[in-house]
Amino acid sequence: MASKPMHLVQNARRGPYATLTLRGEVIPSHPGQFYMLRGDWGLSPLLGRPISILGEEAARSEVRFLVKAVGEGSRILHALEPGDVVHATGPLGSGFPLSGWDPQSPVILLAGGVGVPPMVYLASRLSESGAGIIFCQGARTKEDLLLLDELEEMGVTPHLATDDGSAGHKGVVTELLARELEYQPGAVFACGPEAMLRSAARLCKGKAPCYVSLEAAMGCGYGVCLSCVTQVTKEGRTANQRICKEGPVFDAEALPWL
Amino acid sequence: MALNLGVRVGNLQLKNPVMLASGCCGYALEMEEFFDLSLLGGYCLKGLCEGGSEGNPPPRLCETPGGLINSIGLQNIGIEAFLKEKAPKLRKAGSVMVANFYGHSVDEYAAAAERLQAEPCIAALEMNISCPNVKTGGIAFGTDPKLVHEVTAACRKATAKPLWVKLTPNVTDITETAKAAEDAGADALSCINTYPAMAIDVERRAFKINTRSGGLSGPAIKPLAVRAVYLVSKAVKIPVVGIGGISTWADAVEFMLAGASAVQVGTALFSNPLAPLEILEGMREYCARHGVEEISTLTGAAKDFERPSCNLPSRTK
Repeated sequence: MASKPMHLVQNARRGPYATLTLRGEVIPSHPGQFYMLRGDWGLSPLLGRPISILGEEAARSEVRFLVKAVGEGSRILHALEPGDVVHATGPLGSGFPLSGWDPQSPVILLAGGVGVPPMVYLASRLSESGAGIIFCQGARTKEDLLLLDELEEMGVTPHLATDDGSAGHKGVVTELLARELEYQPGAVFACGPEAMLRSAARLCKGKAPCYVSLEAAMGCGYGVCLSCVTQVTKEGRTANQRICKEGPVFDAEALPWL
Repeated sequence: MALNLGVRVGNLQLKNPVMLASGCCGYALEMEEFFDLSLLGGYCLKGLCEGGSEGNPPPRLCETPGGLINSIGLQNIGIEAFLKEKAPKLRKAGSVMVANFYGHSVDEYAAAAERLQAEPCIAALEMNISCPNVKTGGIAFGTDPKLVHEVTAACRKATAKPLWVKLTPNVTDITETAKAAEDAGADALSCINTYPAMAIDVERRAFKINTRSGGLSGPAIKPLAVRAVYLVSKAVKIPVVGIGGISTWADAVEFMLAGASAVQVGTALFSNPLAPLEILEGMREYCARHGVEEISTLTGAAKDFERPSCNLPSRTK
């Protein structure tokens, strides 16, 4: 990891969503990892914002992120213009495992809300290795479905679910997961709201290993402030682990609270 | 002109005045991923206690204008685990390591000091009697000058290493607790820990952190901390290490001018892990610009503002 200034080369906005392309020295990352991003915005807000990596083009020294404007920091990131400096610390945290299951089995990627970008990055890596990918995306409405064009480019046709039925299945995305689990996946990867992760963890129990990426407000992002801890059970012992350092990806079995 | 960045804190020599503050740099190994620790004057480890602690439940942190409120609750792996797992990796760090520690009683404080005494790579101990986020220990010992004296004296007896006492600003007169620590044998005073503070989410009508009240740090508390350093440095003969919202070289110089012999960078690390190096570089440039040859001469060098006498318009004819 490193901490350095990068330059925004492109900001593609759609409603509250912005896809930021940053250029600078890029250290190779794993899907599931994130950066702490902070613009030249003075003392408020004080901290950088943890943003998952959407993709990276190491040859072009570019790394991409998708940000949803919801709070003070993400609104500023959303409003950045090409040429603006962004201080980027990363890549941070653990990524999703990219092996460890029968390569003949498909894998299920479950994404909800702003949990979609890291799953798209994961899909691009897994598709390079030729894995069979079942991508399930859930959102409130059709307008909130993300990165469908990127998925199409990599030849992944997502199964969609929306709360209002404006696209795909009317209902929650984990209803799609319940159905797809019949294909006996080698692993299930999930990133999205806590309720979605909880439901995914329950459905996968005894059927497939389930890896979830947790979201958290973070102070530093690199393991020193100890603000983003969660209870993790390993070998029968439960202790706090840092979501930014030991996570954000955890084996769902190790999160009994989920 | 050669610049000497070296400073002394009691009988401890630091290669420069910039240190990392306890609670903001983990066990320092995390920082080594960004830079070589030997570039710094030193670093203070996350507060350690016998047996360790899981800390407080989340949420543990929230932002306020120019600051942060935290209530980590001194989560730490414990002295035993630190000495076994972390200390061996830090022995070659080439910088002054200060072990911050605490207990829940005077006896526990003394036992912790004695236990840390054995580790050769620990250059000094920083006694934490100022954490606002634990029910016993921490700040409970730091607000009463008698207790400050008692716990400092007990730790003084327990260790031959330099003993620093980290003070809380949450008192009516910080010079009283400072003098109590000095009388009891402290070698230096770290000023200051966080200010007790609170923030409420008005939409949710909920406290922003789990323990409701936490400790405020960051640029928001800097002017308060500068004053505390000034008052303490005037009141005692032992050196003062300045802490409180330092994020730029100018902040660090300001603390030295107020009376600090060295400074610690804390919250600034969260948003910029390279802040200590940038601060050091800025201090170098400041010294060159001001013809300073010994950075230690900045300590306590602030003087009263001189009113320009000749170029003001005269009131009387």
